Amino acid sequence: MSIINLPAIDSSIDRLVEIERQKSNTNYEKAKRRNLAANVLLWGSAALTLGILLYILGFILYRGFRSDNIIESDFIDSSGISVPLDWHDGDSVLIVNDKTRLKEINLRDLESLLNGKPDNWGNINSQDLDVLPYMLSSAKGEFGKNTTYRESPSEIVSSVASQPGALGLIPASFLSLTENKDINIIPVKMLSVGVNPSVLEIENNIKLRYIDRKILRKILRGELTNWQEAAGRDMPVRLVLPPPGSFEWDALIEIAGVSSEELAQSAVGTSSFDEFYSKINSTPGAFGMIRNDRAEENNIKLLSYRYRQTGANLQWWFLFEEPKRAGRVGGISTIVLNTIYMVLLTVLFSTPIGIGAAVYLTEYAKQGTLVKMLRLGTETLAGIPSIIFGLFGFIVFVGAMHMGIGLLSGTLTLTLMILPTIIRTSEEAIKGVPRSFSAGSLALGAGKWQTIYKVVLPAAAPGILTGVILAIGRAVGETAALLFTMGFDYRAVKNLSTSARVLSTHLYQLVKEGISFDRAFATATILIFIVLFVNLVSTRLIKRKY
Amino acid sequence: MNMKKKILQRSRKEKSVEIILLLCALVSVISVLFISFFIFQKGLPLFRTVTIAEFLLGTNWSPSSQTNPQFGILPFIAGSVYITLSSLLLAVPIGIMTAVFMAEIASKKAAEVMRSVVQLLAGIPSVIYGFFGVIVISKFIRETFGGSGYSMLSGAIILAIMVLPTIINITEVTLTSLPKKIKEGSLSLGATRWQTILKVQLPAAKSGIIAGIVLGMGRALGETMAVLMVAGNAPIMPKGPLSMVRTLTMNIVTDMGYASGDHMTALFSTSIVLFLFILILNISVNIIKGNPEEIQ
Repeated sequence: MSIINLPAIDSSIDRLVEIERQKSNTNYEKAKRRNLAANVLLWGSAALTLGILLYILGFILYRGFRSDNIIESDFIDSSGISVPLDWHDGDSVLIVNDKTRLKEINLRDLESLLNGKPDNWGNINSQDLDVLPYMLSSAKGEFGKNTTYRESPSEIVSSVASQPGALGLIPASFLSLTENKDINIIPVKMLSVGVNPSVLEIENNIKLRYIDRKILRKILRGELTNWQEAAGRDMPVRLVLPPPGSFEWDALIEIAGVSSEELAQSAVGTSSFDEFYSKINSTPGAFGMIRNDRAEENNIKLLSYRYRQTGANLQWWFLFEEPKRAGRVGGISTIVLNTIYMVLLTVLFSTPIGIGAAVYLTEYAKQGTLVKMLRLGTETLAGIPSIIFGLFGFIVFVGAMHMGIGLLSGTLTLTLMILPTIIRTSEEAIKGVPRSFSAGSLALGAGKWQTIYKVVLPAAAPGILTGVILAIGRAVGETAALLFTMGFDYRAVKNLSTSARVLSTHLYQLVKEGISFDRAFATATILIFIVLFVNLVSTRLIKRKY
Repeated sequence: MNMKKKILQRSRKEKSVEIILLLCALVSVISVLFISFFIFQKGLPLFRTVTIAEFLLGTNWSPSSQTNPQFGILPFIAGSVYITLSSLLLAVPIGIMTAVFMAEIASKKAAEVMRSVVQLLAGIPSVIYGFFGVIVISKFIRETFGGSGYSMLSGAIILAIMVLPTIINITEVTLTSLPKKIKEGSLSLGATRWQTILKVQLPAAKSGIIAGIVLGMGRALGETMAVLMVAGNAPIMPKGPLSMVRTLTMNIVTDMGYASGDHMTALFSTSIVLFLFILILNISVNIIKGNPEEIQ
């Protein structure tokens, strides 16, 4: 019998090996898990960065091209083409000149237009056009003094077709007879949500503020029976129906989307308008769809209606129309023009200085304290916040040098701001030109400046251009430095000392004054396009260089 | 004779060209000196009426009061510091990880795409960031945490997005310019890729990363428009992430339009503080970049 139990040793070795293997396996597993976690984190961060960019760009471009707003108004968003207006017998149709940008209008705005207050389309559709109303002579004397009266509908049509800003009312029956490309037929919103005053009372700190289309439909179909379900007080909903066959009745059926038999069971029917209005006023919790212009005379309380309005936003006209009334009306043509002037002047000032500085730093300066100082100066300048440049421009250019707030002060301030960008990129570009170029030129007997001017700079041109383009990108987006140096006048600049509003300051004003988010989005979209263009061109140039 | 004249002429021309170029190169230095000079000249007179301690440590800002004007800017210093630090807290981890992704993980193409992404993020004007902040971030904060939505948190988020490119750029450049051998050495010793990144490459790139963070800090501190639009602009001591804040830059831009007398001077004094902050950051960047740790 052997002293050494070989099989036993074998098995214990096996066990040891197994343990070691397991250990290394768990280590391996651990490392694998860690690597996986790390990968997830790294990919996640990169994806987040990409996501942020795409979200910002996507959001602004989307809203720039498409207006998408939640609107609260007295009017329900459904509109009618042929509408019963008090000023005409039978149904009427509103026509406007097709140069007037209008998709629909509500009754109150229509009435004020016809009464000549306002006499400009600006308030209605942000278009700077005179309002020229045309009516049939049967309505003579009922409207404002700028209303023109015509004998026949066809005369109204031809008058409206020939003048931008003209609008007219013609009998609906005449509509089928007319065909004119220069006029548009505009739907009119007439209906509002009328309620019994009890509905709007505050109860337990709850007050019904508005309803939307969904709730409106539910009420009409009888699916919503208590105001609580619409975020109001605890009170049953009583739908009051207008007299059958009326304009209100037809609109109600259309919105409800069901036949008249399927309307709310508890609905109160009426046979005349007097009954309709008095039922709304006398029944607690009552609700009815009423004509907006009848609300006041019948003492009916209106409930706000909230809806989502979508449509096109940025269109060509926005770029080519002159802004009026601080950008509320019209487009941004003069602002774009000012921006172009600003960019041209800034490039004109900064490029020669920047290239000169870069040439000096790369070709002339001997390494030493002077170069160190110059580099430090450029770097410090690059790090100074734009608001401090703005202050400096305000004290020196606007104040001390008496240039006033205007184009010149603004561009000089910008010039200082973008100088470091141009110096740095030009330096890189010049350094990138092979030594053999200048050596060859010098060997042929050319002077140093000649060599730089004729050989080095042309070879470095793409790189320098990249720097200039990047600088333009920065100048176009700059706002803080311009607030107190360039001013806010949105008219086209006349000379160097005219205050000038540019795209960035315009965007700031639109947001700050809450003038219009749609316009702010449209302006931001144009800025984004400039940024994208600048990036595209500069990366193209860099690629071509190498 | 003629030749000599020509040479003389040429050398004179060369000389004058050199002087013109030198002048061009001096523009930036002179501007920096001018900017410093004018800001100090306009801002320092305030300390004839107010002590420096009152100015820096006072918490009451009522500069246009007729009877007892107060010029304490501590709330704005605090606002600037809080908002900057919290934005870095958000941006630094994401920035570094994105840079590591670009330098180490991503394929050439993906890295290229990410580089253009970062470039674009850097190119978006601050007023657009501000607008985006008003529409999206403030709304998000308002709906999630209540309040007006115009808060330090909103400002910090917007600033974080804005400083992200700076941090990513510099970290990525530092990582890719590290000598290949340190990575290969670590891998050949059996370290995993993750261990190599965490224990070898990032420590080696430390100075560059810190320089990037400090530069980002400078950008955040000096940013005006975006924070002006989203951070609320209330001249009070910030109390928490949802409190409205006013930063140094916002203070300058808000009152500039109508200030006069001591009030105006106080705005320039505010800009001195901001300027000194930025200067210190710039100098530290130079020091950090100037002595990169030797890697053997």
